[in-house]
Amino acid sequence: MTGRLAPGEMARLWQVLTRADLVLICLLGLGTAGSFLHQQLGSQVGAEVVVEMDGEEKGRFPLGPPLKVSIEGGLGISEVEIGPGGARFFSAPCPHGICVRQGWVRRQGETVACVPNRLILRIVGSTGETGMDAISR
Amino acid sequence: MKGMSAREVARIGLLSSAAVILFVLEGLAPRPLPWMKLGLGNLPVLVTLLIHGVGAAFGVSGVKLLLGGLLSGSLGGPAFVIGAGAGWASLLVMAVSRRVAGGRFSPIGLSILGASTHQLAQLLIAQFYVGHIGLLSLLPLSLLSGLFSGGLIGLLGFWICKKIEMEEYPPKEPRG
Repeated sequence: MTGRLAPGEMARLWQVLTRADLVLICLLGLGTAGSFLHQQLGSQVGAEVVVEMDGEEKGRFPLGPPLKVSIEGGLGISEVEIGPGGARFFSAPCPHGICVRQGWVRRQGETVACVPNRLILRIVGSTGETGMDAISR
Repeated sequence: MKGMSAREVARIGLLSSAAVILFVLEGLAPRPLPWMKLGLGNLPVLVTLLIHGVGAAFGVSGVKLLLGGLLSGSLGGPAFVIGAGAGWASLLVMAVSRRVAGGRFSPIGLSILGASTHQLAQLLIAQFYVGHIGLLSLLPLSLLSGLFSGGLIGLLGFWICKKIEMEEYPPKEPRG
């Protein structure tokens, strides 16, 4: 912070924002919109949910008749609720419960990750397609 | 830290404690959505970077992470590692782009850069813990929240820097 600003000057946002700021904001806005559209338009509703722990499959269930399964993770038991409209973590032993709050997923490639309990819910198509362009490990 | 006045040391200490307090308080507040956080604890870090430079900012960030981790009980856990990695990555990007761009970014722009880096780094580091997560599926939400939280923190940081500057170098009385 060199150069002093006159009093009241900083209340005016458009004087604060530089051209580089605006370019950055526009790029991020486009990135957000682009990735959102790619996700919404480019993927279809999935057929199955896969539960994984440390990259290994622990279970695979069709998104059909309502079902609740208990899966043992690194911390304890997480309950997964499955229905025709998708899948979600119903309860979890993790401290923040972020996975539970993330709610339902139903599109191919959509994922809910519970980092503390090391469990992942992943929606796939019937052939096991993830609907993603690439998976990096 | 050589060549630092008592005034500067005191202010950096104050900023460090403010960072810890804000970090812990924000951790207690309920979050509207997962992965979404204002990052209030990063406000003092941004202010330190702008006024005292990179070294002091890394110091404040380190104090925030260590004490904040201790107080919230997350020290050493996945959330701590993810937060520390993402926090330092974002600080590094802010410091480098500030040096390279030389004032072309306002504090708001810098903060948005930092927040976006924080979000991306967070997703990348989380992948190491859970094998892989659908990076793409979380990307829009992450970028958007980085844009808003970064913008807000940047604006607040700018205000605070301005206040501190006015106190350090009070403007001359208007004539007449």
